[in-house]
Amino acid sequence: MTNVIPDDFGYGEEQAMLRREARKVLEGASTTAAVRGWMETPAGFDEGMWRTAAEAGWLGLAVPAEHGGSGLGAVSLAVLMEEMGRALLPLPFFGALFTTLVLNEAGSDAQKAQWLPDLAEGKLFGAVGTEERAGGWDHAHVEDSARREGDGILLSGQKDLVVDAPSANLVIATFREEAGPSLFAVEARSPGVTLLPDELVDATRRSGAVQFGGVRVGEEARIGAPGAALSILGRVMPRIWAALAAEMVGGADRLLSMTVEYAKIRQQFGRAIGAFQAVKHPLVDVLARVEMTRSLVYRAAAAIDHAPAEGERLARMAKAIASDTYALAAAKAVQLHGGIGFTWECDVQLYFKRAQWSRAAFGDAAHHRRRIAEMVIGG
Amino acid sequence: MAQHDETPDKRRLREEARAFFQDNRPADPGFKLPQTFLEVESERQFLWLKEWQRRVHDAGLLGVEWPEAYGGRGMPPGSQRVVAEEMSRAGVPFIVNRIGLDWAGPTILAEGTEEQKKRYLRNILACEEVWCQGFSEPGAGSDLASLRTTAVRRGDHYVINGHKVWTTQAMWADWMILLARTDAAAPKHVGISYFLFPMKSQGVSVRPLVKMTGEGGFNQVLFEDVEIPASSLLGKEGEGWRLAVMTLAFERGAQEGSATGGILSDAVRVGRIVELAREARRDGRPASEDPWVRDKIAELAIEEEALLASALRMKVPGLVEERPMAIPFMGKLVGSELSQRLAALAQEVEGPAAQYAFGAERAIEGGHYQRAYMNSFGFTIGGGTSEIQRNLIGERILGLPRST
Repeated sequence: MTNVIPDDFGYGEEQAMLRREARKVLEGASTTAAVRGWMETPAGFDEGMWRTAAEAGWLGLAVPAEHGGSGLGAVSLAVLMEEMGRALLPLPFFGALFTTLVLNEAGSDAQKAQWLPDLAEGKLFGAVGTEERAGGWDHAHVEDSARREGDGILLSGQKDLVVDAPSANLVIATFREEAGPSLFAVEARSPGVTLLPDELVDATRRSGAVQFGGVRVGEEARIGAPGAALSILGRVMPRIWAALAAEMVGGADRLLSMTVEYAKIRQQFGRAIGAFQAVKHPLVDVLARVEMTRSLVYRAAAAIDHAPAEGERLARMAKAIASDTYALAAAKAVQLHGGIGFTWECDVQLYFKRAQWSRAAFGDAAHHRRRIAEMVIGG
Repeated sequence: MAQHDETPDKRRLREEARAFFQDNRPADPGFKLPQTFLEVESERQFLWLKEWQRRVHDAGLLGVEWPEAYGGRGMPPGSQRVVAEEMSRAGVPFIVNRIGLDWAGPTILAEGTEEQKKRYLRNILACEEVWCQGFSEPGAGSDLASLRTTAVRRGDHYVINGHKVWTTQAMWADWMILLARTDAAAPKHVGISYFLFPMKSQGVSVRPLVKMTGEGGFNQVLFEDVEIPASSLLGKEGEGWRLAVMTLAFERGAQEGSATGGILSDAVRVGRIVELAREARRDGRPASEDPWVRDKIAELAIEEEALLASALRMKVPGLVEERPMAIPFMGKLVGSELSQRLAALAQEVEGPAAQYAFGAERAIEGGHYQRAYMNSFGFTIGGGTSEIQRNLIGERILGLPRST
């Protein structure tokens, strides 16, 4: 840790190579035709693609080397997420990443040894539940309880909109103890765990409500100390926000390219519509937002890696601006594609829905701005 | 800022600049200073700012990227920005000879003869000679290439006739970078030449214009059979358009080489609006507690941070390989519109007090924000309007077909 954000964002040959390889693989495999096929399946993703992701080292990107991963930082992760977002890749990657980050941050040696290698190899599917219906995006709102009973602990309650829960065989969630909210890891097949799959606006994603009906676990299931969940999540969430924001930049950029290409080809009144300022100017506004957002995403990622004290503020900023940028890019893409943009067969709608899901996931723009205001103004 | 992992040279420069601006902050002049170089209207403002620039240059903090032979320090690209950041942090007055430093100087440095470089550059830095820019004309607007001012060669002289407008600082200027038509028969982009024009010539008249703030600062300039030596030409005859495009790129911040390194107007920054929000009242409580105010401040704080992050990212080739010139081309558009929205927000934060005129006794900070809002249009219109910028970016960066 140098505690300064490097001028070059910590972006070097390693990241450039990762980008080249990811782009090559994804351009070949994750075409919109393929995505449409995968999203119609019950699982929502392709197992072959998952193995590809494991073999390419993507699943182990955040896993430390001693547990079978490459232990690259937030900047590398941003590169990968940007490329995944560009290709609209449907994979239960977020759940796995979230699980990995929580275990890295606070798992015991035994927990890490048990789960991290399998996460890196793609043998283990994870999901982390942090939100309850009444709490919105507030992690401190935890009604789900962890109650001591005999020599065990009983977990009760329900987490909502748990990303990648339908495919998960390990679920980590927050439960209130006397000391405060704690994180527990539960095998998804444990008696008392029930999954209620969600129907999402974005068909390339899967999530679900996870019910815990008095699930019995031992002390070894707790991650970190009793009552430590909020401080653990406080260190993990900036990585999640930056990663999602990077994915959103990739999607927004792809929407921009698709719309620019269309505007060059589509003729109206005897000219390509891109020659009309009413079309050109909104596209430039999208470009400006996309480029500003990308800058902030990489700055946030570099801060997380090198100057963590700055990480939370910048990552919240990145998620907030990415939410607005992706939504803008999506709205303009549909509008400027005209009638065709409003149809099911136009690929724009796939990204449009990804933008809708993404802006509401892990805190929307207004939610993060509220927290940013606390940091910038105080009170 | 100042948190980046800087080279030792830049870190030393930063420390040097910080110490200088801390120890040499000028005393309150006892009269109102303009907000930017566009609004210098009185001689005492001008002379005061000239003296301030001279002191900054004497301290070795201007033109740090220019060669030593011309009064600079020969430091690597990005060095001047370090000084600019420290000036901004210290909140000291702006540098007055902005057109000389950022537009004329870099163009002369790139295209001038050795004699021209020696003649002009050091005087620009020390503010011995002030520059203005004669590009705009009454009939041409943003369509610079349709300019009609003429320069006719007569032996070893050119004779200039015509009319320029929106000429900032023309009344103080010793020199003008002037575009004039040297070949009326040639296609409109081809017949233009670029001159280093002496303002104190016979036949030049400068007529001030008053802005909506009530301030002066820009002018009309009329040329009536003005004779200038042929050596005033920069580059070759007929090359004017190429050189003008270069100057405009400097003006839009699309090139390194700026002698002031500035990116954002300092008239309004988020940090100042936060202070304002703590002072201003809404429903009897600090405006800083109002949820709407908080949301808007956070929104613009994010954009300000994104703009600063972009200025850094554009120097990392691997992170701009998709569209290498996007950020440089967008700098003026994004920066000027953000400054404008910041000034608008500051007025909203003021609440009822936003009704007071600039200069009114009961106005908050003398009506600084009302004035800043009005003046912000100088940047969204001047140097190519935001609309022209959008056309340019759409065509050059996105590859869209030309607008008619």
